[in-house]
Amino acid sequence: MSMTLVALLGVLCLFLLILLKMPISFAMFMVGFFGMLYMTSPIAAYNVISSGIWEQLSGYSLSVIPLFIFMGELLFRSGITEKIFAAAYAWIGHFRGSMATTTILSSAGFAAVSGSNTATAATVGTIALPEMKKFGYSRALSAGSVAAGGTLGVIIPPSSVLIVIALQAELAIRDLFLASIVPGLILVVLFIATIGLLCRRRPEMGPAGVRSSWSVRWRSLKGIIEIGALFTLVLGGLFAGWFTSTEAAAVGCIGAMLITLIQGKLSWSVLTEAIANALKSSAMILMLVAGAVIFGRFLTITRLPYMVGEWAAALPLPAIMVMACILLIYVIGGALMDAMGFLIISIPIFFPVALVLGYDPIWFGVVVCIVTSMGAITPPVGVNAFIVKSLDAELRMGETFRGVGYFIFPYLLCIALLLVLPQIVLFVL
Amino acid sequence: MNKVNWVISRLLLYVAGSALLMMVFLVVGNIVMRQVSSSFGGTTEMVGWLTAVVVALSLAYSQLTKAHIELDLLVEHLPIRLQSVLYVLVSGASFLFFSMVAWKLWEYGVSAMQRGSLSQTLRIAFYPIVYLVALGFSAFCLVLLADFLNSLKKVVTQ
Repeated sequence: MSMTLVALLGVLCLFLLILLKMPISFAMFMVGFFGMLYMTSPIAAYNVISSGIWEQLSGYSLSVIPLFIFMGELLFRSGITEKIFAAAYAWIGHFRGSMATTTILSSAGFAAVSGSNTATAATVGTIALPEMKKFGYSRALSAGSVAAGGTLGVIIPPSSVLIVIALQAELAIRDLFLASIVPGLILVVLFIATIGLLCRRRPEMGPAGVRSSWSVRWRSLKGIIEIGALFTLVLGGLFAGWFTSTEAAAVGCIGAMLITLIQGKLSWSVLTEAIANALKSSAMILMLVAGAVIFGRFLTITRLPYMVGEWAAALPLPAIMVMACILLIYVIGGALMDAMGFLIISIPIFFPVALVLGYDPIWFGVVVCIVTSMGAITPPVGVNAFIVKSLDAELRMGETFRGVGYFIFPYLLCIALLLVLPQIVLFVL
Repeated sequence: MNKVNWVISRLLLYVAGSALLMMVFLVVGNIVMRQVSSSFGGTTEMVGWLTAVVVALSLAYSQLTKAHIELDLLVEHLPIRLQSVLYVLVSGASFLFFSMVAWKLWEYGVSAMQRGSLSQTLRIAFYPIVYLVALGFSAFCLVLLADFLNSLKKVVTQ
């Protein structure tokens, strides 16, 4: 059997197992192992699941994942989101649609210290949904702004998805974090512009609130000093080269513990709950990473990624068209599967293609992060839409998906901008 | 069996949680040491070991709480009985495969102990950490076995 056929059979088996509801990481472990067994020797295959797993899991680079997740879990319970929300509302509450805009800004603020889209949607949604209901906001707009805002959690650094992309593609976490800030901010601006346009056309969707006095506005900023300081310390320290990414994450954990303590929310149960959740997510993500390494080794032996790359480069199409097709696959994959899962499976295949086409690896990492994050609000998976629905019993699924539909266009516009003008991502490096 | 798994996974989770906190304080302590005098040379190695312990000892709990990402797209549209049969196959295959992984990790730990393998920086034997990782995978297999038996029972009673 030719190597290409073995590789294609491997990919087919992987998708079959995933469709049969086997956890993605388990499927990658199994297909990778049996593929190695077929392509190499039993000794090599057994080494991959013994010394290989040990070397993978005991690598220093992976330690950044549990630490950043722990930091986010602590802040999720610190009560800081209420203060970010109050500050954003004090400044812009008198505009139409301001509550939805406040939701987006609060999500961006929380995303700056958390790396998870579900945590961002759940934290901000818990505060924002009842407030928007009180002000008579359209339920679709309320749900959409919370769900779309939540996706900023994995685009604005620190982000667990960006860390996994960096580990998978052997890129510097610092560079990916730095490069994703501007696209994240562009997305924030586009979301706010969308809310503005919707409320201008149909003012009843987001009635204006009361104007806060300047003293209230300045006082509201006091509440977000801690989060600003933590963001500056963690990411500033990382970008300035004071810390490695693992050190930045550990400093962030200490900072998050202090913030939770200052807020009076740090109890034994809060700490154990944060640790248990961080461990659960870390085990899930690191098993995905370890499974992807085994699966990736199998694919490398078959030379499939290089062949796909050479084939794509030889197509009689401009590179931008080929890249647009790849991004379309990511849009579909992100809609069908969890972003992390799809990225882990697809990066070994498409990353070499992007390099052959002449695209910058950092640009590709940031763009695929954004494209697959959109999957968190698109049916049928749309995990954020389901989280928002679970936060408000009166919300119907149809309303939620109609709401997130408003934010698909800004997403596509942002992706198109990055495709046409890659410098948006790369100028900061 | 479910109760035993719950107790084991919680116990291992406490050890994993302690390892996570140790990792935080070790890394931050090293930053402080670097400013005051010189950094602790074995930090990178120890943080790597702690990461392996954190992950491996959390596996059983993550499986108990069904944290691993699955795709519901096709299976949820199938008849309930067929769904149960598929789950028996998936959980059975997972149990067998990860039992082999756990076994191979124990073997690797034994061979590292017998060869007297030492770590690169600290020059100390690292096989106890490999044993801890193998223990984590073994507990994970116990949960997978319980999943398999429960799903089998479900199919038989349906």
